[in-house]
Amino acid sequence: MNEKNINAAERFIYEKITSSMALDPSSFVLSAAEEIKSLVRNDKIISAVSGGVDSAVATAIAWRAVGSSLQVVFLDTGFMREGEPEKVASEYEKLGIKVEIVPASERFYKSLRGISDPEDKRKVFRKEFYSVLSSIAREKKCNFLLQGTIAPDWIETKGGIKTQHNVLEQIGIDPEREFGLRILEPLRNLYKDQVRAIAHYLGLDYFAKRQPFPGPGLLVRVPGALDLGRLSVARKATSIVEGYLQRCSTQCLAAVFSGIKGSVSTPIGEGQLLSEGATGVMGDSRAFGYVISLPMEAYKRETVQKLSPFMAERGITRVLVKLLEKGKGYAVVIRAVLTEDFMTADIPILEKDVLMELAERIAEIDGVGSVHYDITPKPPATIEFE
Amino acid sequence: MIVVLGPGGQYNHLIARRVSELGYNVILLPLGSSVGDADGVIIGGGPGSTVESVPEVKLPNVPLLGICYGHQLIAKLMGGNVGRAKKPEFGPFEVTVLEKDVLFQGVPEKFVAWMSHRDEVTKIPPDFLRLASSENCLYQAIRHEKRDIFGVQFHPEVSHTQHGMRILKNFLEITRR
Repeated sequence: MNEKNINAAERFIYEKITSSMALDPSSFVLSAAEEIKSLVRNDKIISAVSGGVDSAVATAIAWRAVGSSLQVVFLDTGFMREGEPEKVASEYEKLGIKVEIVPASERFYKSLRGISDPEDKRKVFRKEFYSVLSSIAREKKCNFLLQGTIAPDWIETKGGIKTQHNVLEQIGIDPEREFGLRILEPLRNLYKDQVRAIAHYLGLDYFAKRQPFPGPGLLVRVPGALDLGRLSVARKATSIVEGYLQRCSTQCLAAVFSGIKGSVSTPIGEGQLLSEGATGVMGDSRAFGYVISLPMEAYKRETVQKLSPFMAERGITRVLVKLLEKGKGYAVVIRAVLTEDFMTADIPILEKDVLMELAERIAEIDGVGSVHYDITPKPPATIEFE
Repeated sequence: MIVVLGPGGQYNHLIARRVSELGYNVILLPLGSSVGDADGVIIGGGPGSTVESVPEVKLPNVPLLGICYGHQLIAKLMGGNVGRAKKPEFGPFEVTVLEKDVLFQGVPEKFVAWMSHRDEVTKIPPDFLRLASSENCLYQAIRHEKRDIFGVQFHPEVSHTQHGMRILKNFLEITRR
């Protein structure tokens, strides 16, 4: 254990230990709203909602606390799902909360051009995100920024597993100095299942049931350098996958790789190597490594267990099975996970017929050469690809 | 009060959540902190390795549970040994209980637990017993013969580990005696 690891260790104490860890939604909402009210006083808050349950719960609590002193925006980064900005704004409208959509996709595309390192992509995204947001905050005279950050966000960022775009203070970035904003994070000690329980308590059932979606969105589902062609395939494939698999998984998605780069021999047979790598987590450390695809015979729960030592030795973070290959073109990877709190995730072993039907639908998208299913749990993989 | 000492791993905050959900007051502190008058201490996981170097940590004289890195640290500090695992384990693996110890009360002989480790205990300290193993790892759970010192290689705190809450509860009940 080196010095750096000790410094990265958790350096804080819980003030309200029992109430913050074992959750009672009604008292949590009351005390979180009180805390916001006392911190903000007569100032204004800006909240950038993503459409997910975390920012919805944080926003609903702040709305209770300060009413119209809360300004809600939705940044259209260009990495959103099909029709997302309008859908999200209309759901908030039902709650009586007005959401302003801020188009910013060109800015994001421009600053991310040519960047292929996954951590650099996340950091550039974060910088762009806060610079857009802070200029809107200035326009609207807001001093506070409300965020739906939850425990796994800062745990993964601090632990160096991956940079979550909404984590600043915990890694030593001073948001007040850098962006002129003070941060409010009422959910920072909660996990997704606890946030969902509060969402139901607040009547936010629509958000509680929604598919989780990462802050940097489809950007992290187009591994390597940003390519607008692959981004468009990722958007279409995500809609198709969600249509098929959201009832039998906690989260499901599609990632689009450039293609297949070569072949690889494994202890259980020959496989293919994908053109880009993916992020994983092994023994509490970030792992970025190869993605391999095996023939359908390997479609079993035991495959990844059997390959664990080989993966650690060769730096492989993902094992896929190949559903179909029609020729040259993008390699689309379907991923579905079962999880309560996103700290660990299991893979649903779905009927082959369902997967094949889904693969054929995806293969109809222009430019797709092959379709695969990811069978790697977390650990050793993470849920998203970068 | 239960103290969770976190050597920088992903699940230490989650351990604190579980302890709290089981009805105990809990505090999460960095490894090396003073544990004051804690009734019990859990040392969690972390990215470090005890193969080459071991931090100078004084083990408290109260019921103690080490998880993953914490398990390896206890083994090393008390005279056992830790090495690189021949077969590192990531994700779900079957654990077999060999000794019906208080730690595994109410837990079946075989259960699926989640792992994330490259190192493993290769030799247990004197006066320790082996309680459980898996196909790839000889020492999935150990304990001191007389004192309330335990170590588990797997992660009882993650929701996917079967009977994980029961194992934590069994340990925490010892701290109330």
